Amino acid sequence: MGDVIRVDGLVVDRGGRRVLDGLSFAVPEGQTYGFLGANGAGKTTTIRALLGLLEPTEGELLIHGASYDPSRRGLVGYLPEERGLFRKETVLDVMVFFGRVHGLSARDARRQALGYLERCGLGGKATTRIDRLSGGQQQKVQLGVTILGTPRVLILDEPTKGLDPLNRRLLVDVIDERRREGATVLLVTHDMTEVERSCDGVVLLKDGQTYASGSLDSVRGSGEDLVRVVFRGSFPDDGPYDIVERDGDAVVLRPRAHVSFEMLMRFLCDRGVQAEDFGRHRPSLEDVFLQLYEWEPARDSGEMAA
Amino acid sequence: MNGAGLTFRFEFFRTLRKPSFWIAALVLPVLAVLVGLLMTAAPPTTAGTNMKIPFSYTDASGQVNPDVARQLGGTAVGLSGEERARRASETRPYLAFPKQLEQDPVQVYAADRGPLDNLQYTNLAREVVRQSAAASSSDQALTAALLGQTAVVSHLTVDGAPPRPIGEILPPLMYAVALFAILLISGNRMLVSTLEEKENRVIEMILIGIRPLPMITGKILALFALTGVQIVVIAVPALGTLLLTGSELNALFGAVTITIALTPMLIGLLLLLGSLALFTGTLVAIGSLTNSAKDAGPYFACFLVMMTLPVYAISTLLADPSDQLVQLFLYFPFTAPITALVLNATGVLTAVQTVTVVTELLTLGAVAIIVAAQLFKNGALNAPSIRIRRTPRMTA
Repeated sequence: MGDVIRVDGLVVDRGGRRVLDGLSFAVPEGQTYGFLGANGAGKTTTIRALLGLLEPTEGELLIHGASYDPSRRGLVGYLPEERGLFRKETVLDVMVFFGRVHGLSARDARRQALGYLERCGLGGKATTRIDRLSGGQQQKVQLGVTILGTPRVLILDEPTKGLDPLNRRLLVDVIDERRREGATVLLVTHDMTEVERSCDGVVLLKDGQTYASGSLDSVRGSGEDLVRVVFRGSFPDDGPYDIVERDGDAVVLRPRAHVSFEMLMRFLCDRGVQAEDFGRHRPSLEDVFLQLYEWEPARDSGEMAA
Repeated sequence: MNGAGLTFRFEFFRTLRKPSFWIAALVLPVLAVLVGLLMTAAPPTTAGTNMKIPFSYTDASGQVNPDVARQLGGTAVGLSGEERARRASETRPYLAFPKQLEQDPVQVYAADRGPLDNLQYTNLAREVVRQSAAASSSDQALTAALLGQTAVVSHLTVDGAPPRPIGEILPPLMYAVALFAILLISGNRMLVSTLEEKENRVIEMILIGIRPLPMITGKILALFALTGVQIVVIAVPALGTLLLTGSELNALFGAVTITIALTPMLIGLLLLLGSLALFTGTLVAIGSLTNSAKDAGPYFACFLVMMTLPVYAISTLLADPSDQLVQLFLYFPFTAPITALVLNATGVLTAVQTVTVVTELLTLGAVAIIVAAQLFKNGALNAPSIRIRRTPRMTA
């Protein structure tokens, strides 16, 4: 299975500042990857560079083996973070126009647009002006515009931002449907639950570099080595560890440097802690993200990169 | 369909469907018809009685009242001095009143002062006849005939040569009128059309399928086509008005025979194309550098003032093309279009000036459009401060 999206050594300088500094990652064919990072980390810049909307300073950016340019229209469905529609035009006119931008003939664009509108309950709104639709209806049209032409690659920049629950459900359904049809999806989002639910892999971005990328399991494993202890009685606050989380009779510990799992277990036994359960803590993706941005990582980010 | 064609089609037809387009298109013709009706309903204009221009005259009809002529600045030279007066007409106008004044035109010999100022000679000849007829009570029928509009034929010279006749000036002058109309009609639409993508935040979705330059080209062509539609909408009633008021215009200019000369028409076309390129490129650039129509307003106003400035100095343009102000207008890019088109129409634009201005407008116009397309792309991505080092991209 080859990589559909491949970013290698991407460097972008902007306003005299290095926004992206050697970013690299790949998304295999047919997979859905979450693209995560704090606000301003460079996610949107990466996508714009990937789609040829801005020229990178350095780096190789490939979609299906070649740099993207508008002559390859129809290959990618893109939902940008900054999005809108021609507000004074009718729903059908706008959808047909964007269908044609995606390389469809006028007839096919019209057919697909009407099909989508029927599917999402807007069949009667085809000749209504966009600015006369509700916000939620406009969001549906926006999503429809993105998937016209059944592109093989979907790049969605914070697609759930501002969506009501119904449209969030519609979006999830559409993504799932496109995945089943073999599309490759790059999903920029801050919704970790959504990533855990619908993504095969993830790219974690910090300081313009890849902190980690790969399958969800491998990225979760790239976090710090934490230990979870369920105990009875008391638990010593002082020890060769920091207490990361305390929840009743359970604590999550971060062992200090050079303290192994076995050394920690021996220390707690010596202190008379009655441990009912003692094991490695498997962090959620949100834990990994928070570790990345709230605490300095224990290891150099270059080593962490998968 | 390529990007330019797709954008053209979308922009053209969606604008044609807007009521605001038709309201804007119909306002001018409706006003033109109203003005035309008012002109035909109004009583004939009479020239002022206070004009006094030193002139010589001969009177074969015997109908010119010497006192009236003297009051208006005339000196009778007698039929024997006719030839001498005609030769001196570049410094002192000479009017020859014919024997059959109620049938034959008055012959006017004078230096060319430009199409507008030349009207004073026609008015002068008519005023002499009108006041002479009013002062006479001998022949009621003749008096009535002379009180009507007297025909005048002008023989004007500039540096010893005849100037371009008005009938030859009017066709290439239509380019200047067309440019002026386009500025007024489609300037704001041009500005707003490039801001619309930014304000509606649709630009990124478009640019993944269409490159900026074809997109801008499609937009510009659509706007030109729409302007063409508007001009047709305006021209049809305007021509109707012209037919209604034809006698009024004939009285103003005398009988005009329209002649289309190839060279000034071709030069005018080149000047118009260069002007439109500069005009559209600059407006797209303004739209690209600002975030909303409100922000763009002051820059647009400055631009429009510069482009139309020569219109307000039209009398200087026509009367004294060598004036320093006219020369400044001719070479400054934003005042050059109207100035050059007017001077081309009146036949005083030299070959060197023609080549210089056409080259200047076409070059700056092309540069403006290319720069505007890039600014449009960057501006629309809300990254005006972006600094991108261009390096070759590696491809597979």
